[in-house]
Amino acid sequence: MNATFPVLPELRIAYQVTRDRVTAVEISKPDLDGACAVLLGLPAQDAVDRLHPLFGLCGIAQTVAGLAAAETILGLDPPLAVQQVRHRLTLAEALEQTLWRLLLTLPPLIGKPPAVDAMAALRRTIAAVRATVAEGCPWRRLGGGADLDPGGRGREAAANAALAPLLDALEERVQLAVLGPACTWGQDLGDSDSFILWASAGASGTARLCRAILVRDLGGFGRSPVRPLASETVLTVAANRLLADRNGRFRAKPEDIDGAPRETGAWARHWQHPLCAGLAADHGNGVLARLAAVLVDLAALLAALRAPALGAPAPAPPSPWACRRPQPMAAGTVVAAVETARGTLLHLVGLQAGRVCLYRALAPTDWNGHPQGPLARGLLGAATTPPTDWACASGLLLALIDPCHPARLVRESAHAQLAPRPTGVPASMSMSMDQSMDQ
Amino acid sequence: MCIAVPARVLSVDGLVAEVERYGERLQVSLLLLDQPVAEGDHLILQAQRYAVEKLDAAAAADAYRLFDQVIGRPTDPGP
Repeated sequence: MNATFPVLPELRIAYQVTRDRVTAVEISKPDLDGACAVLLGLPAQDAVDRLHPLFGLCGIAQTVAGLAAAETILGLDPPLAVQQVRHRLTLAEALEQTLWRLLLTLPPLIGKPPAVDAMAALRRTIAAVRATVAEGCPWRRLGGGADLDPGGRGREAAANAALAPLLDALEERVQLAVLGPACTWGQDLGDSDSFILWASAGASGTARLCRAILVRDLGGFGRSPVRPLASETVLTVAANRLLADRNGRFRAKPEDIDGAPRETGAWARHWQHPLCAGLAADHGNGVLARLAAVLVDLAALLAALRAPALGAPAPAPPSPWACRRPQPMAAGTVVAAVETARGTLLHLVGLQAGRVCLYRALAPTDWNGHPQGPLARGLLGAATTPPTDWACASGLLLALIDPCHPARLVRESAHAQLAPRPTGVPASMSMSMDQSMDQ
Repeated sequence: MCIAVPARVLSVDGLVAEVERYGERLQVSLLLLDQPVAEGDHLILQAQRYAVEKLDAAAAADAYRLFDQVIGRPTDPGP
């Protein structure tokens, strides 16, 4: 890819309508290779230090991915306590981003104000968790400061003791803000029957949102046949194609071994959960089932934050938020995968004499913004006139797919050719009904 | 990937600030920030609507240098 880096990147989703149905969708993704290119030639630590300023909103996940890849190449083995700190910080970041979606992004789509006060209070609690987790730990340092002896397991035990009451408070506040008073994940989100009861009577903004989706008959809006990205694909197929991706084609249209797109994110992590599977059976994998997956994800994140130390026996089945070991590729080249709120993030790093000679990243929106991916397929064929509330439904789908960039839905004339955008966004893609007859 | 271009505060009116980043002007909410904000401060935004982090002057200068470099730099030629 060789375009001008867009300083303020935007995902542009253009669609055409014929006889009140969406008949074509084109998604223009920003090309962010320029951001990775700035890392080339830098010493590994300097490159890692620039990841957070570059990619601030998921800067911890980006930093952890870069650290894991570079450490594997350099043969550095950070202490388990430091790996635990990194993992918990990544989880806390994902939790905040997930809450952002539920409390700030989604309510205005049904005409309700964003829950800014609740979000501000939760951000303060999450900040306290982060500070306790990271206190005194050189987690940003390659090798995790093993040379400085950060204290190993004793320090970890002390951090866990200080963390427990903070996590209790966090869980209680998240439950109150998202589920409402006297509601719990197990009781109200165990299966689709209990979920519908909670949505019908719940007092929280999220329950009201689910209720509005049901009342407006939008539960199935955004159904898509795109399969979830399997974790085994990530460090095999995707890693190898990312390594071979000199011209950026794979990053523009990432596909699995069968040549088909995949979805990543909360739905891909939890589509087999009884609640999500039950709602999908009744409504399809539209916005209602996807919203339920976000709620299940929230519970999984809170559980993962409390999980025992890394190195202890893994629970069965493993959490979708479990750490993955980086994958060595060609000599001096490693791919690291880190799970984020929006989906799986891959960093491919190559080092030569301690300096970065190769840096490529594959972000969740690269998968989900594929021309035949879940966003395009979810919109294609949708009704745009009453009784469908198009503005609400399309906004919900977009918010639940949750692109990494500001996103804009643009209706184009039915006679316009949906063509690639001219500058800065070369990864432009389109599909039409002719290409999706199997839907 | 979420790009974190800092925005410079042009003015503050209660819990709303007018900010500028690379020529784009925005009105943003300060409700999610716990720190006081004044003209000339640098903020990280989310959803182009909320300030989520205040940078000190050195961090902001580093970030601008980084993004200036990103804009003018040729991209990954591959191995």
